[in-house]
Amino acid sequence: MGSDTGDDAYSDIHLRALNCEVNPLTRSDGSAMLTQGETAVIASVYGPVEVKTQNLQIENATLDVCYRPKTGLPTITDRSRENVIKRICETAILTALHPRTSIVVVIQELENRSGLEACAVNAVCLALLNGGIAMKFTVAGVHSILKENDEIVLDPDSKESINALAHFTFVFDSLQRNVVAVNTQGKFNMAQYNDALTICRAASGKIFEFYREIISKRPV
Amino acid sequence: MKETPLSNCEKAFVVQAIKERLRLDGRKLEEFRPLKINFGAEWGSAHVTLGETRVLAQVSCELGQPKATRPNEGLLYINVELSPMAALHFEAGRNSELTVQINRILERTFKDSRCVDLESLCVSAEDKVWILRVDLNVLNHEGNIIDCASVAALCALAHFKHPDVTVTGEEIKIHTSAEKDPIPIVLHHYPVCVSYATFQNGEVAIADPTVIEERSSEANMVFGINSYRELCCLNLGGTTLTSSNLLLQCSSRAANRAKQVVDQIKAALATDAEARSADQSVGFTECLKMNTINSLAQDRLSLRLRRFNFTLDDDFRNMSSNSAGAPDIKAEGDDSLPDATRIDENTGLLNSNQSNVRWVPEDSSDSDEDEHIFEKGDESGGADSDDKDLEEELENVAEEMAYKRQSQPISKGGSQQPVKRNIDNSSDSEEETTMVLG
Amino acid sequence: MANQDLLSDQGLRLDGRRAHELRRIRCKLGVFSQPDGSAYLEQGNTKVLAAVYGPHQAPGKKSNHSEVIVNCQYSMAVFSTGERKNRPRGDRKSQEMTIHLQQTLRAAIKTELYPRSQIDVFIEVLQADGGNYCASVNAATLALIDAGICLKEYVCACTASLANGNVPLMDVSHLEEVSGGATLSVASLPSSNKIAFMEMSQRFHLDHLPKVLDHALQGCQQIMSILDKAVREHLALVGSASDWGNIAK
Repeated sequence: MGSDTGDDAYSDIHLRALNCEVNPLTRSDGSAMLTQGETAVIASVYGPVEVKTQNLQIENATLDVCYRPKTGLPTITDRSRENVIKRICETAILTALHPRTSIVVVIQELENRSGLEACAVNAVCLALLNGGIAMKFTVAGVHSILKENDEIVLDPDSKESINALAHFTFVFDSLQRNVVAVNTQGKFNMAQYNDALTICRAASGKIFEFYREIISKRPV
Repeated sequence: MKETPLSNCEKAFVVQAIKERLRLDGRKLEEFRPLKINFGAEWGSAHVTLGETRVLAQVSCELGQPKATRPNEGLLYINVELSPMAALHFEAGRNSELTVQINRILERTFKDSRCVDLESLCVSAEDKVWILRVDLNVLNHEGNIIDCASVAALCALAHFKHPDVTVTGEEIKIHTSAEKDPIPIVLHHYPVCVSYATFQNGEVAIADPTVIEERSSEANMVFGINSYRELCCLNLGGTTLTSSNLLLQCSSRAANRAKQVVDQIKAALATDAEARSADQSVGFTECLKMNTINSLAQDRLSLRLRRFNFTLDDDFRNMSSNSAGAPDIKAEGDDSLPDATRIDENTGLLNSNQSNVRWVPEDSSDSDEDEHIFEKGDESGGADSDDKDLEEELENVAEEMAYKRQSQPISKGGSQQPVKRNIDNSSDSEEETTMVLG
Repeated sequence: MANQDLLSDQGLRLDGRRAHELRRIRCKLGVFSQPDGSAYLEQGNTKVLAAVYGPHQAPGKKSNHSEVIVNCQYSMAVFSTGERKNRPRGDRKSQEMTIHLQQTLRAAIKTELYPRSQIDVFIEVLQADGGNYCASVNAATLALIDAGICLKEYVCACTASLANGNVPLMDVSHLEEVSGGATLSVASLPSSNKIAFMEMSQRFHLDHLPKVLDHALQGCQQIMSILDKAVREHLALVGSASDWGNIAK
């Protein structure tokens, strides 16, 4: 399924091709493998499962997020991604439904060709949906960059993002399209930021549409 | 999280099934699960699935100092990581016993057998050499990680290319792939691991064990073997003991298997190279089944009957009178307990169903096994008086209804639902559809 | 390959042995008084100490209601190798060795006799000169016997290698290990002729496996008779006051 089918409202929005396989893994409770262009991520969810006593929370489920890089040991960057995704999940999941348990989310990077964080967030969201974890809303991550000619490029591939002045990754909720998380890198002014936000927010609709299409499919 | 314990009855079931030359997933004892290889967009990145076991491999390199004892050789590190993604009881970043074992077996297979030409990785002796690192991430653990990981590691190494360098005096310049073509690694031979699990006091060995088979087996054998039938690594261990005879038999079978696998790897590499030279898109997109949901998918159930078709048969009456009121749902070929109680249960079931559903062998070439089944049918059928009533009823029903011939392999684990569904599709009356099996 | 030099034209190896000869094995049981069982074993220049504690109650977490837990610790003295070792244990190779020892001993011990218990086996390699695994297994067997733990039978281990591409060598030394071909380590229960554990590194053709394996198994047989003799002598010595020597014969 390509990105070019969609509402008229989004017809000028071009995301890279989204492809996904839901539940590719047999051991986990829910999993999803998502590719956005050449960027690929696989995410799996277990839960609610037994929690370690040191992490036990009386009122909420504990979220345990683990991000695995493709090579080597997890670096600081990977830990920060882990943290960002953990906060997003904490916002989206109805953790109060399962107190004294833990929900384990594992993300494995398969290929990083720009927009990895956004892809990871989307994969996690699909995995959570597949795992039947109750959520307040779904989330969609969108990546864009600021080019030298003051132009905002939505969901660039790795070639386009080489000379970017700034990277923006926004995560939106599906209800009000409010921002759940923002990650920026580089230098920009407020106007440029707002431009990027508007474009990404519009594009998030495509991703929610994609979720809907995937979930409404019947199992083979 | 602790690993879920394997119950005694599960274990006994597997052991008994192996005794009757049956496996839960319907494979033959020497049969391997299908192997699928995909390459990523980057050099040295491979995704391998063996049945449902998945491993992701990535080779990376950096320049570093060689070891003092071997100043003109590059270094090779292999690192297997079992994250909770593979199974919940694995902990990320912790060296469990299994991790150490897999790591060491792979190290022996690839490093000690001198499969990679390390001398070609030398840039300047005693100063700078390429340090290769193979990272293996296990994504899904459905048994036999070691085979899958070894194939992934070999694919990744064969696929990998390290950047070219120019040495001018003290200075070393690393060229990007745009400036100079990267250089592939020289592999002297292609070793892969082939695993067997032994049962019945080391008399029977089954190939490519699944998790449950691994856990209920007595010993595990791993052969690291290359396509020239050279043994690179061997590991045998477990709680019970194996005679050397079985070991030698398995080793020669493993050699044949290794050849097949290596051929498949070479074919996959050739396809990938072709796609790259033709400028087609490469990457992991191809290794996912396009936009599908696999939950509850029938073909993924790990338990299945191999030799049985589920049919609604209109010449059923002839058959049943021939076999003197044989029970109509015959699954006993797959059933590990050949006693009559189970069969009676089935007939009882059938009474309430009032439907002539029947298991018939799918593969008639397997002749002695078929005989086996019919024998059992005869034994159980003759004495039972209920069966005669049943037979009459069934005859009536059979006359009333027009049946479609259906032949569709069915999985045992899911037999309850699919059976129901099949009846739904093919029978006209409501009563038959509301049957409950089991 | 350097294989050519492993066996001279006269059929002698680097250390003067013939292809099918073991190195000299010297062993002693009951070398320590604190542990429940202990043994010292020399196989050529490889020297190993083994100590056994137990069976004693297993800690709650690990406790197994159907069989005993065999806990091993393999460690190499920092002065055991040519170059001083920094870590006596805990590196991948020692961890692997620990796992292998554990598997081997579990196969030999009658584990079902000691439910909810644990047996600790500590191995210290004092000098490493090839066949460390084998010497460790042989020493551990003696120590287990000294501790009075029920074994199915002696578990013995021996290595074998291949020289000149076709002559199997028994019980290889360190020099032969590094300069030559593949090494096959086999732990077996020689009386019932069963293999408890087997491990191999480096490569040789599959066709050679039967004869190399055969040689290793023969080595195990010979080692068993040496160990058996040592055990009998030890018993005769321990029980000399009560004239056990005559009973043991």
